[in-house]
Amino acid sequence: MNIDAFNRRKFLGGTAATTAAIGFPSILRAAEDTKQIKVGLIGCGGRGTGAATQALSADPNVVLWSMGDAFKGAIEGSLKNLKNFESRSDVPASRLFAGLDAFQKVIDSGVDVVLLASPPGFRPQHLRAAIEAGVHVFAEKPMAIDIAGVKSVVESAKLAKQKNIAIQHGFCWRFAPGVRALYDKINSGDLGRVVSVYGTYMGTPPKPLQPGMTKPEGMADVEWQVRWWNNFEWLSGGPLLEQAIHTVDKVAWAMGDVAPIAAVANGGRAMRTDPGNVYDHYNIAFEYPDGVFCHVGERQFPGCHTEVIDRIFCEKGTAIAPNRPQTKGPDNKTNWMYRPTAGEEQNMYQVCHNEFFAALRKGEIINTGEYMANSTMLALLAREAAHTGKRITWDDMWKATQDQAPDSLKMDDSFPIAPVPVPGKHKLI
Amino acid sequence: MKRIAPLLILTLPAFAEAAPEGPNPSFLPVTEQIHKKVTEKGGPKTADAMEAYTEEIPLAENAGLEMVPVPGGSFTIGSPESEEGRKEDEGPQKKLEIAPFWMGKYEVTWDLYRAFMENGKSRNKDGTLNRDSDLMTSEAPKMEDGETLPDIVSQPTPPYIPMHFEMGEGYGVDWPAIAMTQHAASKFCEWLSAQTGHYYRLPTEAEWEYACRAGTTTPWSFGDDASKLGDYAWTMDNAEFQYHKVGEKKPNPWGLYDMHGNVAEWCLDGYLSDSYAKWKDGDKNPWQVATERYPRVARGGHFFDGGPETMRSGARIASDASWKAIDPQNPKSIWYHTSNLWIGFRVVRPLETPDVKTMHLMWNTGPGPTE
Repeated sequence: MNIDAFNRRKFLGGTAATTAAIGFPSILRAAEDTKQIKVGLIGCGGRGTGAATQALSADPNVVLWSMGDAFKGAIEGSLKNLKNFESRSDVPASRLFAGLDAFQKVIDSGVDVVLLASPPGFRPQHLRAAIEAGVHVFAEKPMAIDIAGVKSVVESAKLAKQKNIAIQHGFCWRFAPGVRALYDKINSGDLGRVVSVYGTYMGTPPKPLQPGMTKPEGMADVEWQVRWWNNFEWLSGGPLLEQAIHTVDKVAWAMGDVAPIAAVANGGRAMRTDPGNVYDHYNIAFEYPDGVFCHVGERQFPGCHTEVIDRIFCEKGTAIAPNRPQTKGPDNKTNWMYRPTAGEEQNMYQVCHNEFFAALRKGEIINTGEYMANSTMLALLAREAAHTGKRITWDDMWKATQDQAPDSLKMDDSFPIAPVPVPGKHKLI
Repeated sequence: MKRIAPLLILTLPAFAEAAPEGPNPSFLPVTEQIHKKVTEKGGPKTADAMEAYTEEIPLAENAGLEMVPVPGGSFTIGSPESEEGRKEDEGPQKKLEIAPFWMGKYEVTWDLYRAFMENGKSRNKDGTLNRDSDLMTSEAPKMEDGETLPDIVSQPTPPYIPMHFEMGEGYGVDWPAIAMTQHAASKFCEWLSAQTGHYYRLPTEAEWEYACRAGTTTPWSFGDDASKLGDYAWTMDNAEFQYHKVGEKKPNPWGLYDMHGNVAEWCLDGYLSDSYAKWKDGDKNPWQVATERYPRVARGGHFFDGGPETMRSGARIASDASWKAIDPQNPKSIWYHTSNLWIGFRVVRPLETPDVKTMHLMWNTGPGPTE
């Protein structure tokens, strides 16, 4: 695959015929428990290295086989941080790949599973390449940062279904035992119909560029932006996609993952003065069938009230998550609270991988691709409603073609920073 | 990096000479600057001259840190074998000498800690300012144009989620700060010292128990009647699984609040199940230098779990790697225990300022940021 295919308009058009090449994923043909599962890590930052740790902990016969990252230093750091798993790593220098095309080399290195943990702007391309090669996938959230990306993910998920390839997602709260127990109560109707939801993700900027900070001398635009990917929309999707998508995903969860009707939203760049182009706050009203409205508040401001909380208002009470999941009765008193027995707390990131690898062993194919695409599109619906200042419907989103990927991508390309969207002027294309 | 020898026991005054090279030597020049500032500022020379005071913290919008004098003296650390709920690691009891210090009247609160935690700077994983676009590399802690000493003192990388976990009123005034590592708590003390010119650090385990007992020898500083615990402590029985504002319960005899319950409190020491067996009667200010990340000592019990016996003056808590279980990153943050909602701390200020190497060692405990 040519790196210039990063452009997803071309990507979608050019791959329609590839579905003919159906290969058999290797694990399914020999499901005995001791068969080695070779894992490739794509994106060797902290989260990717964490995902590798969880994959290696999920099953005793998982081995780390190959690693790739845009930057050599990230691979070296990751290897150092995986030293506890040295005996489970088989990563000679010949299977360590740096550069923007490293993902393809990892996929082609003979792996059974890849862990996709690069900045989300790359996700659709990496996912597609893995599925085409017949490699099972764990994909971190979000799945894309624009509409063309989501559509690509939908196509990839379909292709994966045809080819019996598994896709597991990284919307981690869906694996947290306590949060699951709470949302089970909602989805099973224990609390009656959901009347409305108010979810927040109000924190502080996690990796801020400093005001006035400019690109170091001698560094190209692309390299600089990839290094500071959180701050650029074409790579991170902005804080609603990159971070608060957890809260958006839980709105979808509370609503039984049904499609919304539309969203109206506000947002802007009130606090940030750095040279990036992401908003720093959003307030969204999602409109659902039967007159249910779900609100999400997102911001990354220092010095302000912070909280990350889902409040799901139901006919018979209120459910609260994700920290200390509990339900309150109509009297606003807590009447149920999730409390794991001491020593039996489970780490949601680990549960995600445990279930993924256990299913692979059984020959069961998890394919969460379509769900992942929908939850990502829900966040995009909110973001675009804020960026355009218009009421945008779910149908509008699927008709649009927004594609923020550059037409080609090389580390030393120059790539000017796109302007910050202005509501009322910014158009959904 | 040169590692300090394991199981090193230091006692005052001898440890002034014996202090080995601490971890994180690149930060030694910063410690030297702060040490100079502390020495120049000075303070009372004798225990008699020590008074309660409120330290205004400029970088925390002048929020106050109330400090209470704790007289020097001797006490018996640990609990007698006859004490109900006692564990093996609380013995053998030893009679120790403790030098005078001030101690925070309350656990450190969010209004103080948040200013340290959210500095708005781009930080590397180790807390140094990120000047080279790479979060993994450490930059030398040198002041550049317009920066002050507190600016460059190692501060945490920003958290991904608010660390109060929706307890209390967010980062509200008077709610205890939680979920920081012992390393982060020590660095807070350094940051506090850099801006106030007074030397703050975590209490040693011996200092903590001495202050908690406040002259008593009973299981709790209010006596041996567990039924009175609710008057003095937020526990699993009365806290509704969340921390509470500091100072809402009765203080101990020396005027210190929430020594039992609410949040557990970091001490400076590494945890050994037989720490006291390594000490002798008459030892002065003993301190188990922490050389490994785990386990380290916390004290005082907490709201989250455990019965009255976990709130006893002699009860010890050993930290554990599982306290970082839901940190999604590898390496896990050196700043946050994202799976521990009940660990906090309070600070002390010793009457006598130690030499610069000891000061450095007490702020840079155990393996450095390159662990």
